[in-house]
Amino acid sequence: MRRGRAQARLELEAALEGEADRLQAAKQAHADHPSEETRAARRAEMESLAETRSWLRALHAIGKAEREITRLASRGATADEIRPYEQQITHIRAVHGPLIDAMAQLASAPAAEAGGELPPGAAEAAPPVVRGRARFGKGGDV
Amino acid sequence: MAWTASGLMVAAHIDKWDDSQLATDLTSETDLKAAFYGSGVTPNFGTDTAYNAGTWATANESAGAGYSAGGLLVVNTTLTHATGSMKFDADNFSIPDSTIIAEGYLLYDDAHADRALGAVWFGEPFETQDGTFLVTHDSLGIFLLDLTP
Repeated sequence: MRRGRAQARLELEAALEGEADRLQAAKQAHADHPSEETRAARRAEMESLAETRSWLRALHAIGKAEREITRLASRGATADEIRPYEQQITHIRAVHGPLIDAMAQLASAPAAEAGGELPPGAAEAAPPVVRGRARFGKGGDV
Repeated sequence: MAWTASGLMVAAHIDKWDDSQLATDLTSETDLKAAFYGSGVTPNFGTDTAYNAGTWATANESAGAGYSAGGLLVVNTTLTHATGSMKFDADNFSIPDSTIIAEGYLLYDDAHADRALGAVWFGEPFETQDGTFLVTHDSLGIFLLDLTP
């Protein structure tokens, strides 16, 4: 199982690298020959890479939360302590569920593969998305 | 005061939309950088203008083995449409073999007067000891600008 996951992870990383290479080529093509056609091609590659990255990060976040739940459960943590991680998984699946299912089928990847324990001395920050919002004519004095 | 939230910089947006025509290209592979900071900064998203100015002075920037002042180049940038929002994203950040403390980073345009575009707060300080400092961006991207009702 572990070997299968490692193999799947390598395949995912290779796929991401391939997408990044295609994006670089599309950006270069647009820089060399700016046109509506090359701009559209560049945008298409950006869409593709953005989608793949979203999927991988969703898997990573789910895997991380599952490992935390396992760790807490082994320590005899209370349901209240575990609940935030369960809610996090539910939220990620609610937002990315269809994408996770579709991509997992394509890649034959386990549902929550990606990521792993950090080695000693390392740290991982995972900030939430920064949200800017437009408020057209809401709440203002007219 | 302290660092308590992430946000986008208003001044950069005004200069983008008025005749200043701030020429920031969020799809560039060479212009955008992420400079890391500790707990000593107090962002003012309404007035902050640039890297190495005000609270974003290099004196407040993270320092230590493996990290160079000015920060990391932001690569494989994407600017896409996501359900009524403009979504900006890039590869995760990784600082290998580092010994630093950081509580967030400033995203700025190294090619246009170091203009500050946004600041991302990690929620708490993170520390490495001769290890890799990873920033894994949200599955929804680095920032979303919701432009629809």
